[in-house]
Amino acid sequence: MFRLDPSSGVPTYLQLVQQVEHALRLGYLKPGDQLPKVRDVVAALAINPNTVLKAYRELETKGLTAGRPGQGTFIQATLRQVALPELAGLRRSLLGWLATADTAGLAEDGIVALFTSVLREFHGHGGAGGETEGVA
Amino acid sequence: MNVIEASGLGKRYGSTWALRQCTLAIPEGHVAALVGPNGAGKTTLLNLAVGLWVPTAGTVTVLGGTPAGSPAALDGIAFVAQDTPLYKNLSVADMLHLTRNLNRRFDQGYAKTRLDELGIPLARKAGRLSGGQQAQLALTLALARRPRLLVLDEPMASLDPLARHDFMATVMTAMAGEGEGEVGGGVVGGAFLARPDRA
Repeated sequence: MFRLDPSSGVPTYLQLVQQVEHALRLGYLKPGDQLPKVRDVVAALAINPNTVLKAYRELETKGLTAGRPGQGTFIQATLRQVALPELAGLRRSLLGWLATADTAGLAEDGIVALFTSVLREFHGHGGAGGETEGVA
Repeated sequence: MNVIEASGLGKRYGSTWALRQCTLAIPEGHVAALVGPNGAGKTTLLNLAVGLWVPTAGTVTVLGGTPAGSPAALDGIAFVAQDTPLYKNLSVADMLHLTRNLNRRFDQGYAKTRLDELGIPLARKAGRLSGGQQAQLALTLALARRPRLLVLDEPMASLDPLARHDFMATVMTAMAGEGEGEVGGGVVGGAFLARPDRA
């Protein structure tokens, strides 16, 4: 299910889109999976149904989902660039790094700042353009 | 279709203009919010739109050109005024009975189910419910009329954040409709809610 961060400054519909994209990248969602019904999202988050419809339309335009009349919206494509076992390995090493940062006394905000800055530096050094996206 | 359309609308009390030269159109299928400081004329505009007051100047129509306040307009509009207007001495069941008999259309099944989901006891007097429950009861009575346009005036002023969330969830779920592809519109601060005709 979706979670909203009212203080993020990111428009609500975009938060929904990004969360589906993240779930796809991390393999939590795969082709054939059904997205929650608009009505259920609305009931859970207390947001305008038009906002949910806008997010679902955007996902469809991006070719990530497809609506089946009378059934709902289903995942159609995948965004995963890395295979699952490899992803698990990367996740483990990141967890290890986080533990080191934590021991060193770096707080969450500091970790995000450091990560964002290093990521930018990496891309700046011919790490290829890559899409830029707000840190969620 | 516009659910509310005003042109040069104005209302004067004695020598004071509460609202002046107001021109706006709200298309169906939208939630619209009126925002403005105290005394900006939000409540005046809403009261004119639902037909409680008569304009001093200009015109206002609802639901695609129907004059505000006409029987056809009243039939399609539900209005929850400021401070959740309920008869505090009546039980919830009596409020239900009253509203059902004062309106041509009333979805008793929806109202009962909704109150049950909210855990609002039918035997309790309306005035003994919590603020959040009173707001939900007023909203449920309004929605059970199956309006094409819902107008809410300061619906959440006295509610805590949790009750606000629940209240908005009820409004938005009603707007999402029971069926497929059915989306209405609304105002908050004054909230309008409309549903397109079931084609």
